[in-house]
Amino acid sequence: MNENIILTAEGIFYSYDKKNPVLKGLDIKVLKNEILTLYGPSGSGKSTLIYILGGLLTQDAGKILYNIEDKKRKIGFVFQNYNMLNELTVFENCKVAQNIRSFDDDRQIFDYAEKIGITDILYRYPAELSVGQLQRSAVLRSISGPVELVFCDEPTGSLDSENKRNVFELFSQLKEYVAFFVVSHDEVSKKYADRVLNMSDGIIL
Amino acid sequence: MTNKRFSDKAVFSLVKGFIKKSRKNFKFPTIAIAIGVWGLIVITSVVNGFDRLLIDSITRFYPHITVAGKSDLYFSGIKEKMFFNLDNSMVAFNGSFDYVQLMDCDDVSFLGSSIISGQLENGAAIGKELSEYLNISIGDELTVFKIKGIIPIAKKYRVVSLFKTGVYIFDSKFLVINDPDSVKNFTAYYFEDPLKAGEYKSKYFSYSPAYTWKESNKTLTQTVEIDGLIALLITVFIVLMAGFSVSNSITFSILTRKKEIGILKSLGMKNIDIQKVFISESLIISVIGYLLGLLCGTLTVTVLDFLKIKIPSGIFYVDYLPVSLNVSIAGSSFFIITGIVVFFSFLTTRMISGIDTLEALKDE
Repeated sequence: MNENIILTAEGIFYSYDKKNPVLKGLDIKVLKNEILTLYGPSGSGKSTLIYILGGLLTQDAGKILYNIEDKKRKIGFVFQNYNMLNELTVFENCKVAQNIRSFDDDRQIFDYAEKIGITDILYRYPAELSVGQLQRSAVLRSISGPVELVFCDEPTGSLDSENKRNVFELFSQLKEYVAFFVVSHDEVSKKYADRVLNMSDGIIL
Repeated sequence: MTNKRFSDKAVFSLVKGFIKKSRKNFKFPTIAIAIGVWGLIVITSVVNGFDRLLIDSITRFYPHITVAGKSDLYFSGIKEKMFFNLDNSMVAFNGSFDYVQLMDCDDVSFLGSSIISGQLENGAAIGKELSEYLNISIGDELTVFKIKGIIPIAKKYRVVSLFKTGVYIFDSKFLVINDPDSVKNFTAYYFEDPLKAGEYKSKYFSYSPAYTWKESNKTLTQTVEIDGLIALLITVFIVLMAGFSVSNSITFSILTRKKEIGILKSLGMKNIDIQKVFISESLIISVIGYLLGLLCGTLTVTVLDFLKIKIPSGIFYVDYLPVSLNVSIAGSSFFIITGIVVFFSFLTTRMISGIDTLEALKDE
């Protein structure tokens, strides 16, 4: 695999009911050091694609190759519904993510948290946060540790324009080490993207 | 830092967080274990109390080792030694009679702590039950018929004291005398620690006909052995109950925390490390439950010992509820309970590997 490519997927098919395919022989490459933004209407299979590429779902057919060692622990996710661990504070959520990824550095968490403006909520529990704070906390957790590829499903949908910019600014600073695969409808994400792909009816246009 | 140390740190943070924020999930299994251990400690203490009292009662009266013939052997651990005879006899008083074991000793000081009235002096010491049966009191004269060959020999003795050992068979069927004219055919040894009688027998009396108090009182000592088995059975069932209770609560916990499992899997946590989270939680539950149970059990045993609750004296050989904390069972049950809990937790948490990450993430 080309050294600049972090992930290659070829001929990906997937169907939830084994009758109507959501992904129809899709091919895609994700490069290192890029922010790749994927656009497409609702139901076009964007979320299904990132679940498959991220290893949370197994494709019915097709091949995926990763240029990542220990990919299970080097891939991060930002889910649409945030999926924070409610029993832990934001800081503890990030710390656990770091430790799972065999990493331990409080400064990384504080540094990123400052850049996306959530230093003041680090020691609060998810139940005490607004939707926007939760979204940024989920972003922070996804990049805690030595991740190499982060899949983001609408990571800025609930943020105001300033916070959206802050998040993408951080992605831009980190892309030297981390590739971002972003599913988003935001114009801001388009602005920061290195590549923009459109998806419709289970294929990349 | 090694990968294992990182993952252990994550496990520790998760366990700490879950316990801090989800106390209500831990209450039920902790209380279940605490009640189990509480019950275990109280029941085994009562069984142990009866057993110890029975052993104390037997060994306070009955020779710890009986050796045929006159033995001159002395060794450290001996508290008292006497020569005696034990014969089947008949005792009669005022038209009432009964068959008894006549214990003719050269020294009756072993009876000291069992005497409830009268004094140890020349004459007969009679068991309380026998005295009531014969309606005889201190100062009365009874007649003892011994069989020598085919001729019964009658001899009168004045009752000088009443004894109560707590063992019905001793109190109703034993008459103790000190006849300086009779030849004594047995040697009785009393030890500082009666439980060492078996050890002493094999060490010092292996070549002479000797019987320990256990061998001479098989029916009574078998009761102790049966009690021990009952205590063991109770322990096994309570331990199993605790194990199932924790296993049940873990299953419930896994099912209600599917989403958390999904999140941890999506972060890349290995199944074995997620298992460790649940196993550690159950271990903490069992330790806290055990300590709570131990505290409540010990308090209950202390209160019962202080209150000396009356029980029907005609049924038991004691008129109050004897309790004695069984330290070995209380201690070993900790290791058994935690072992069983870890075992059941491991079995139950194996289901984690079968949980689909994406399905779990959708769980609410």
